[in-house]
Amino acid sequence: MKFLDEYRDPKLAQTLVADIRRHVTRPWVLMEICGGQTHTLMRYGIDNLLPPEVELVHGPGCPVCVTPLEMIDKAVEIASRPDVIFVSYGDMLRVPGSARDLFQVKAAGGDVRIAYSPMDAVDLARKNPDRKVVFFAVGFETTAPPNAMAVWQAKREGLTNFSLLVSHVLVPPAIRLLLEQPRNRVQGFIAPGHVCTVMGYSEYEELAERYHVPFVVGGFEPLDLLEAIRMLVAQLEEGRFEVENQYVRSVTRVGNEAARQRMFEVFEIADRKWRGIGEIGQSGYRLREEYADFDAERVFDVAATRTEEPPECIAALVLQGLQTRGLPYVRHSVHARPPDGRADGIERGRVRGVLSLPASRPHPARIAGDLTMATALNMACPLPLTYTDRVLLGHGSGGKLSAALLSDVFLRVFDSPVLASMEDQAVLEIGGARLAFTTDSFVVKPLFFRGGDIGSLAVHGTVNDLAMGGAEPLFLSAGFILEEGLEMETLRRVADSMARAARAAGVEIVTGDTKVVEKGSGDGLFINTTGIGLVRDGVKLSAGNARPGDRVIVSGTLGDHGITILSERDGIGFDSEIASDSAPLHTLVRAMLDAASDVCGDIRCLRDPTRGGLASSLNEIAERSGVGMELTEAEIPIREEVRGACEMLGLDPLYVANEGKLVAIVAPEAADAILAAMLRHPLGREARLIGTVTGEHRGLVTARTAFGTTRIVDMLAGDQLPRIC
Amino acid sequence: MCLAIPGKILDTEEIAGIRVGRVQFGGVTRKAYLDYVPEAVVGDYVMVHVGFALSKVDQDEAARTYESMRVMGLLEAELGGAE
Repeated sequence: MKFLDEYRDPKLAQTLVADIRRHVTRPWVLMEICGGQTHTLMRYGIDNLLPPEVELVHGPGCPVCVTPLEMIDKAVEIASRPDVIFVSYGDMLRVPGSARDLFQVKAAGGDVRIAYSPMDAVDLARKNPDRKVVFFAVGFETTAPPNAMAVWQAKREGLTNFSLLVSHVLVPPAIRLLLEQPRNRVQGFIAPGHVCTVMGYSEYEELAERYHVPFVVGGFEPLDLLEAIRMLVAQLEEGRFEVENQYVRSVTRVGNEAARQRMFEVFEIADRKWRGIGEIGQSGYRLREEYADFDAERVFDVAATRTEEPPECIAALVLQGLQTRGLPYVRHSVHARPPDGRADGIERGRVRGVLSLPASRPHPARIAGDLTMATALNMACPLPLTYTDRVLLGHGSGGKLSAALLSDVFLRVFDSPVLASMEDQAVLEIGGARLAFTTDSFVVKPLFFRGGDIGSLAVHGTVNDLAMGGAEPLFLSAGFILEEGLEMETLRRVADSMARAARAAGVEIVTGDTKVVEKGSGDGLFINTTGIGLVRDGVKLSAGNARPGDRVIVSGTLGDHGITILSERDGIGFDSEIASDSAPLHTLVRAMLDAASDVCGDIRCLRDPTRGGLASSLNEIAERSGVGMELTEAEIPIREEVRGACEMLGLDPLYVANEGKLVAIVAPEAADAILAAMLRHPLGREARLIGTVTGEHRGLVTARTAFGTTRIVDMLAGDQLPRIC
Repeated sequence: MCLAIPGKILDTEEIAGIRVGRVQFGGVTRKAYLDYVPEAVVGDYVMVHVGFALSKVDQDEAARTYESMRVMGLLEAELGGAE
């Protein structure tokens, strides 16, 4: 992608690093303010490229981490009202208030929705005149003009059912506070490029002058950040403290006047609370008096709600960069325990796709040679909540929540060794035959999408679960749960599609069931399919079979299905030509088994990385086999459309669902033959060797970046959500 | 904070009095509001955050930034200093 790819060039990165090394003569502590920049630093392992003299600490610039408990409590209070549609950017949903987060409100019946843009919330207000639509307006100066436009437009159209819950904060007051701290260690700042795109950078000149610290306005790609660090080191070494602009392609000294004008028409500067820090004077925006009717705090009378931050909250330390290098893995506001005291219910770690140290694993001080890990963390990140007395959507995401649900609720009571082996299918010996047996339910929305529909998906999904056990699929059942009022024509189309998919896959639908639920008790149509098949003699595939030295092969591009579905969802929608990869994989598996010289051992394990994506499948295998895995990021095949969508929404394609792809763990000596067989098959034409199983960092999956650094590819905690941050 | 990525304006129209463009990001396109970049026209690249274009990418400056890094790389190679 133009203006992204050229700033990710590993060779030029080496050049910049070499230049920094050459010029640095003593230790310097630098801070990037912005969470988006922190994300890039982590994603590419840039910390690990820098000479030891340069220490990066990570600043308070994440709207998600700085939103105070009190504001989340107000959001929860408003979102719980039956007359409200509460709309938020994706990453705010998991931030806990004192008792609940917005996901839990949703689970309890609240109408909480995710939007990519505040204008989507305005659109909801237009379409639902009898409901009150509230948009959670969080963010820094970058997000304020879009949020301002939403309320400005609502006022212009006379939409009286629209309001904003405003929690806007500003960067310069936070930097000032930081620089006033007696314990401050930061000697130079990377100023946030997108905030400065709106605001310009004259505000930082005042700070540089007053506190004698240099600023460089930096962009968001690896080369931008390395260049900004190089410029800061140069200033510090030369004893200068100026404001320089690295991000000239987007930022000018005056910023975006049109955006600021609209923003100040709607907002005015006010005191604001910051999570873990408390109130900072003149550090945020509130709606002007002319927009009082659009202020959700007034409309819903929650302005008086007060919540004190728990005393053990050390967010202030984290937000002020008073933590050592290595801690960014747990960057969000941090409590020693959750507000209700259930410490072990909270998940350590994975935040915004940033590296993490899973709670269940040992804490090696160093992993993979160059990966410094957070150590001695007797604390936990509140994102996301995992303790819950209700089922959340994240329980169906295929990640850690799903795993917890299985082990806590089902495995214990069902008490079957076959079930406990947690394969995609059960393999049972019956009368001398080895029968593979599996079941899967399909709840996809929308029912019809490019590349398939719920009917074809229900056939392919179960065929694939059988195939991943090395079985030839034979028979399927089909169970339908229909919502009263579903159009008969829709049902016919789905049934036709199922029949076609089954015929094409060579399986027969031999039994079935239909139930109808009252309108409102279902979502149109759900399908369950169960399948049986025969496993070939000697084939014994299992997630527990991977051994150090084995190779990791994927059958094609990742993320196609998940991105297709996302593109057709309300609120996030975008246009692309991409289609779901939904396909039956058993003939590909047959070709692979035929190519294996030792059918009993060459292929250790097959998985179809559906929900939770490749990352979740590989983590499961690594954990079950007690091995590590190292992927080579550059080898992982991803379509341009999927990349574009993931860049736009801040998603990682390794966590996006597939419905016609498999990942194989194979013996090293058989890898070439199996890969060749895959490449000859129509569903394996884009197959690639993407990594190796190792005996190191057992239980962890890592990826080697183009920069030669390593990042952890952790298991998804809940649902992957579009980020603004 | 502030995830924004560059995309190319494919076409523009007015919706409810606001200027809106179809913007291409790699292989996908999405509607983006263009009121904050009145100078941007079809074919320009804009930085888009939560559905709003917040700046027009200055292509000359972008080329200059890249070129200066490239030149530094060449010098590096000449000095034999690539570590």
